[in-house]
Parts: sequence; C-alpha cells; structure tokens
Amino acid sequence: MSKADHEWLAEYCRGDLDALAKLVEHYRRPLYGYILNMTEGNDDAEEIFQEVWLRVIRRARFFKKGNFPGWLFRIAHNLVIDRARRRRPSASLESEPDSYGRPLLETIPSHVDPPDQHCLENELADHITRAVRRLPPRQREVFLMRTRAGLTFKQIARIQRVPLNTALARMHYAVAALRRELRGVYQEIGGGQP
Amino acid sequence: MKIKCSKARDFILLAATGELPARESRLLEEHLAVCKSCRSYREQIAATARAAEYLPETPAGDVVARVLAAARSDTRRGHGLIMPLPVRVFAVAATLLILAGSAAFLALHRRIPATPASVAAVPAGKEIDAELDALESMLAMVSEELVAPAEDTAGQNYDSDEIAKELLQLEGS
Repeated sequence: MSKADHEWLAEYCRGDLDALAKLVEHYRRPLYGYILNMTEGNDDAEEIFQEVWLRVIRRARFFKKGNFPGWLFRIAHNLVIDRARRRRPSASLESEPDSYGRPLLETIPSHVDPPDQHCLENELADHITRAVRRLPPRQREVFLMRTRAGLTFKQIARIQRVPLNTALARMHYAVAALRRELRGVYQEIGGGQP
Repeated sequence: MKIKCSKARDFILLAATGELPARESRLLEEHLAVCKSCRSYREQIAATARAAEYLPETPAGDVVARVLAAARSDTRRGHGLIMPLPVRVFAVAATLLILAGSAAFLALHRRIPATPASVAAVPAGKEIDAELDALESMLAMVSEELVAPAEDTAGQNYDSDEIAKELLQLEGS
C-alpha cells in the first residue's frame, strides 16, 4: 500500500469508507488465513474475521501511529483464544497428555477438510494444510503469524505474551515438525533439503 | 567471536524478519560460512515459507463486503469516527451547557428545604384578600345558622315561643 496503515485508519476515522476497504483488502488473505488455520478450517472463521474488523472499526480512533498488523493480529489472537475456551471440553486436549506424555491435541489428526475448493483439488496443498493443522496451537500460531502475516518475532512474542526466545523456540519446533511431515513435499515445491 | 549452532539458528529466523542487528548478522555469516548444518537449516526455513503459501486463506468474496456494510452501519451511528473540529467544539459546548443547567437546577432545589403543602400554597396580595373575604362570609353564614330557628326532621321551620303558647293553651283547656 502506498500509505501507512495508520494513515488509512485515520482517513477512515474522518469518514472515508474506501480507506477502510483498502485496509481490509490488504490484510484479507493473511488475516483470514491465520484465523482459518487456527480454527481448523471451521465455519466460524468468517465470523471471527468479521468480528476482528468490527473491533478495529470501533476502536479505530484510539489507535495512534504504531504497529497496526501487531494490533490487528492481537485482536484476532484474542478472539481465537476466546473461541477455543468456549469450545473446550472439560478436559483440555492441550493439557491432557497421552501415554507418551504428548498433549492429546498434538496426536489428533485434523479430519476437517479446508473449505477452499481449490485446496481440496490440490493434493499438495491439502497435505501441507493437514501438516500445519497438526502443529500444536501455539507453534502453529507462530508459524502462521510469521509466514502468512509477515509479523516479526518481537510482534509475535508481544501478542503471545512470551519472551522473544520462546517465540523463536516455537518456530524452531514448528519447522522441525513440518520437515518431518513434509519431507517429500519440500522437494516437490522446490528447494530445501529435508 | 564464534557462535553456537543454536544461537545461529535463532539468528537465521531473526535475519529473515530484519530483526537481526548488524553485528549479529556478521557473526551469523561467519558461522554459516563454516557450518553446513545451519546452511541446510536456512534452506528449511525458506522451504517452510514456500509451503505456507499453499495454505488456504481466501475468505468468501462477500466477507469483505459484509465487513464494509457493518462499517457503514457503524459510521451512521458514529462509532469510530472523529468529528470535524467545529462539530466537536459545538458538541462539547452543548454537553457542558446541559450539565451546568442540570447542576444549577439540582443545587437550587437542594438549598430550599421541603415545605408543607399548606404553607407553600399560601397565595399573595389580592388573592389573600379574596381568601379573607370568603372566610368572613363563611363565618357570617355559620353565625346566622347558629341563631336561626332549628329545622325539624321534616325540614319545616318552627318557633319555640309558639310551641310554649300552644302548651299553655293545652294546660288551660
């Protein structure tokens, strides 16, 4: 975008809806991709996406020049966490270990197909999607925020309220897990030594 | 100064986001020059980023339209918008005026103690004279009634002197 995010937001605050449209369009794919993959492709991804923007709209005038994507993804992160809390059964899959001591959530493969028809037709994309969705939520979040949203590790650490080293470690774990899962895929999509 | 592979891999991640200071960048380059394993790791990071591009991320076309419709609705209600300066000044002034008026009204009514209705309803000037006249006429009527002959149950007037005369006549007969 030619203008900085906060400038678009300021224009929207002065009544220019087109400025907001540009901002929504600019962040549409990374934000929706983050939400969709954090919610395992469930239908409420669109609902959360809309709610994120509604919160942005309602708090826009309080946003000063600063880190807009960090703010945007912080809102999305909070909504994703809220959703997970609402849906969490009495025993937490994240906290309950299996017989090997791994959190149960990590052992359950995602059986929910992504809703995007193009991805369903694409075996490669399906494979990658499943591998990413099998990552533990916090590692998956770091991975998505880094690779899809383009956030820095400092921003990610701030959003997750963890030290920078923890955010880096989560990315290392995610990279290692994906390497195991996508050994053949890396060669197929070009480059990378498994 | 040399760095360990674990540190170098942190640096690889930070370098990709532009978060690595110049000094650390030089240390990383020196390390990568001699460490095949970390060079391979850097390739993995790049491959992982390429893989991420295959993830679904496209919302239905009307999602953005729905967001904008909600924004339009909020705009009509004034959420999130900053009003122009003159409008803001007017709005603030009007609000202050209303608040000041309300405060003055409340203060005035708190200062006057509650008064009984009878006292509060005392009229003034000519109204008092009229009230007094009415009271006087009422008193006169009451006095007249007190000195006037009593009514019998049938409502006919009678004179006590005449009754006495009739009694005397009856005794004489």
